Amino acid sequence: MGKVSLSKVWKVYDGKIVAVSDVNLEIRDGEFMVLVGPSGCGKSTTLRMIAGLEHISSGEIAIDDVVVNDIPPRNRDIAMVFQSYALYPHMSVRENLSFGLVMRKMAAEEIGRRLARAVDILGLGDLLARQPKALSGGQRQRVAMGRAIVRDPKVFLFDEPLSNLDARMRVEMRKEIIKLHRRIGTTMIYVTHDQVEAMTLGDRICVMESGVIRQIGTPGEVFDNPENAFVAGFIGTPPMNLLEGGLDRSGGGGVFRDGDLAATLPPAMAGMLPPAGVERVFLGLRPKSFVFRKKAPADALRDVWTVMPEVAEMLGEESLVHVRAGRRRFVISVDPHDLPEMDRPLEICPLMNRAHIFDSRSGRNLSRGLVLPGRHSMRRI
Amino acid sequence: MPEPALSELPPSIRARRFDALPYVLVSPAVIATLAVVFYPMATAIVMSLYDYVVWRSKTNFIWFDNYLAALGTDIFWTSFKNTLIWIGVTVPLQFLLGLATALLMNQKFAWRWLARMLIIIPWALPSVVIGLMWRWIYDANYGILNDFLLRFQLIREGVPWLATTDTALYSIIFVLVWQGFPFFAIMLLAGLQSIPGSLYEAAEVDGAGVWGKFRHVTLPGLKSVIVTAVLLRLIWVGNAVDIIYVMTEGGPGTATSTLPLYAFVQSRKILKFGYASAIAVMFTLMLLTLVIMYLRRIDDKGGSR
Repeated sequence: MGKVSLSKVWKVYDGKIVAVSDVNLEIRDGEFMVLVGPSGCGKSTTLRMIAGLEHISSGEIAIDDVVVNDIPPRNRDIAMVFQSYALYPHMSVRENLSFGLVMRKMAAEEIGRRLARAVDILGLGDLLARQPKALSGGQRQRVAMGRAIVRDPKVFLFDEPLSNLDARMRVEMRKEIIKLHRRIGTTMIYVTHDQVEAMTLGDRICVMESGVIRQIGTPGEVFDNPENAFVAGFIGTPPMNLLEGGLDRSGGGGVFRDGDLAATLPPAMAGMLPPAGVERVFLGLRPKSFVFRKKAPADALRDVWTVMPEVAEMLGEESLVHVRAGRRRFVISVDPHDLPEMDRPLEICPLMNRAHIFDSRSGRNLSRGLVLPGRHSMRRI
Repeated sequence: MPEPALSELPPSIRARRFDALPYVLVSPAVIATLAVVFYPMATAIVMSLYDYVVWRSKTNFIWFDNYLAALGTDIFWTSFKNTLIWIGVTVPLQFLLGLATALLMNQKFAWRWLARMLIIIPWALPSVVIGLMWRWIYDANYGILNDFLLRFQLIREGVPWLATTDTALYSIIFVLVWQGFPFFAIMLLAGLQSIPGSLYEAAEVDGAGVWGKFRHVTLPGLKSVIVTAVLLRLIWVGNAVDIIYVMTEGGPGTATSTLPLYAFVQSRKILKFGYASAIAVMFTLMLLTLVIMYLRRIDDKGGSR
């Protein structure tokens, strides 16, 4: 068992700097929960409070319904993998793995059994006699995970464990962590600033900003139905384009307008908007939600935008073209075999069925949950 | 791609002509070292084989007579024993006091920066100043130490700390401990700060208590600093004569005489340079033996290099 619940958790430094405010989070037994957000969003602080390495200013954290606020880390039955790995430099891999068990005065026989299991899961067999300094980054990472596995804790905590690895190793270890979770089934809480890691690893992800939870949901939910402009602008590579403009409600429908750019909201979307009180909005469109005019389906031809392509980034499967429209700049994704000419006006059409409308003041997604054909790009895969 | 054969390489890579530049660049340092380190050392060794006394016009080569003469005196052996006590008591005490101070200074508390600055003062003062200062503190008639002890009724009459055979050496050792512990404190504090905080956190999650963290994270993390600092202090403390000279000049009698002090007195006051050189050479050998024993012991325990 390993259920973790945070209720009304705050972290305030020196009585004035709020690092985490009013966090409520239920992590189910066996779940892989990812806390993600830009640096300084409070995700690591939250994790460290769960670990007991950071005092909880107010609120309650419970592991399996036992409030752990005043329980020291060693008695919380958690194991943690640090960003720097934090392997004991003077101990061999074997000693590193067994240290936590020796400290708990476990019988040598049991230590041997657990060590053997961890070594088997992570393939550490050849490394047991080595010192940490003789290991590569990936190997150190594996040992750090092994140190957590042998403990057989209720909860695994990961604090940005992959950020010290090179890109290739990171992808490799991501796969291993997924496999590890599937194999041992322990609750895992994982902190990262990398939204790709969050999307690929998490059963659910919790997006944080400035100490506040912005959305909790499965990767699909967070990608398809961002609750607010922050989540929309954070999740996705590249993230959703957010264009600020006015909302023209004349004639019963809804038209987004910003200078020369106009976009007609589908009737279903316009119908969701509050009848009054929203004048300024963000129009959210993912880079893939645009087509060239020459290829646009009939219903998209209502709105034609003339943009100036400035830079193209070739990614292989797709090319990202950075375009300018008036004073706005945004990114569209195109087929690399159909690359437009740079610095020549280009006509594109936004696919408004896929658009999101956010209140520019609160950032709230006003079109959340709307189901329209072609809207959910994740679901098609 | 096939690697090019050696013969295909341009001649400039294949055969390097003798190049004088590296030697020219290194020579100033080598010459300076030879002049100020090796020449005096060699001179001292040579001198120790002569009956060289400054005010005598004639000197003779006398083989090892100086050494044999020294080994035949009581004062040599007293000084030898005092040197061992001097090093053996001072260095461990300085280390322990320095370690305790460093651990304390590594805690968070108000005005820590001030405490860290103040702790250096004993180390920053010139030995002569310290010697004179403590001579007053220890003074049998006017000293503040006796005053304190009398007021608290720990002693019934003033103790002449530096004039009593039993207390003189340890009184000076106390002063040297006081002077030298900041060196350990500063070195160890720097060492403590280089131990990543995540190691302590990992140990905490792994179930280590205060002692466990000290034993398994702090001490191993400080090991290389400790080895270096102890080695340096071993040599410096062994060689220290200034404080003893200022405080007692080796007295009362020979109670506080150490080998370097004995050599110093023989050469500077009695001007028997040959004899003093012999003592200095023997002391150097003794210190060398100590250092080698120390390093051996470190290596046996699995050096951290």
